[in-house]
Amino acid sequence: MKKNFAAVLTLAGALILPGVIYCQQTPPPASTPTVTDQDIQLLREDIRSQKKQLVAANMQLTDAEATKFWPVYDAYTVETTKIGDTRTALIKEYAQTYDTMTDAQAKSLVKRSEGVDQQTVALRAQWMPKFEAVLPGKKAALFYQIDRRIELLLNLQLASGIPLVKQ
Amino acid sequence: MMHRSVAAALLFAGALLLQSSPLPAQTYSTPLPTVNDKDVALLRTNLQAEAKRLITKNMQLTDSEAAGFWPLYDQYAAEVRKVNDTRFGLVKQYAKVYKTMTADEADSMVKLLAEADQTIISLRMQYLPRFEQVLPGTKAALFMQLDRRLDSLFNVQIASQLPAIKP
Repeated sequence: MKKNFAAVLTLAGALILPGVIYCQQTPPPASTPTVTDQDIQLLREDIRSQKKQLVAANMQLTDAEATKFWPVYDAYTVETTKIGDTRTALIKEYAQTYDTMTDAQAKSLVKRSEGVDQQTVALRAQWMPKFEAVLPGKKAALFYQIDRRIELLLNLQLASGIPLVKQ
Repeated sequence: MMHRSVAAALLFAGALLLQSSPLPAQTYSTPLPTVNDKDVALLRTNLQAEAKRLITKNMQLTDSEAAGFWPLYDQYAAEVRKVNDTRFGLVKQYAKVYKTMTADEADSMVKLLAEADQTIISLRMQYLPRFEQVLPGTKAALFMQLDRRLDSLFNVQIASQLPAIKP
């Protein structure tokens, strides 16, 4: 495990440079096709559906566990979707102000963006006892692990597709 | 422009979810050769230096900005390191108890991980006004953006290489 861990750190170091520089050196194209809010909504629904499939594939729930787990999961997803709505609105605002962003706008966006991250982490912690109430302890922990992992992956992908604040 | 960028990022994130399980080490079972704590410490030092180099390159600070920024950054980085000590400690503990993990151990590690995630966000929120005192608003926002991106990348890499909990 320790060697595995060291390999991870090396890989992380190797990946950091191109990822960050990519964003800095890739200016947005001057003219690109429009993507509507409806398109974004559809993509988000698609990702939620894929996430659910991944959770199902990795949790290997018994029928009895599944009966109790999925209603809690769906309720949890309603809450995470609300936070996702705020995140999406922030990204849209960032896009709208990108070329003319003032210091005050930048401050406000960063503060609200950190608030969204905080809500996500707090929500997961808040729902943990609800999942523990319907699953054996280790399976509830596994769900936490999967949910956090998918969220990290999605956020990183989102971030890497968004240009850095212009100076 | 950004709508398309968000859509592309979402599409890419969706494709990743479909094509690569976030749990590649689910079937992990073979013990790996050990890497000692000194190796891990050295790798962490290299990553910290790399992060600092990337921030320098992307921030393009004036001399007067740099004079205010770097002492504060070093102070912030020292606080972040303490949280990462907890995260690394958790990874070691996870590896140690992996094959015999009890529900209580799993629950305890999940809670500690959630606390570490929360602490990082709180630290960022706490330091944001201080960075805004020594940098223009858009530059402080750029630093937060870079810092968040580096932390996300680091977490994704570690999470994606660790085996999932065996229920």
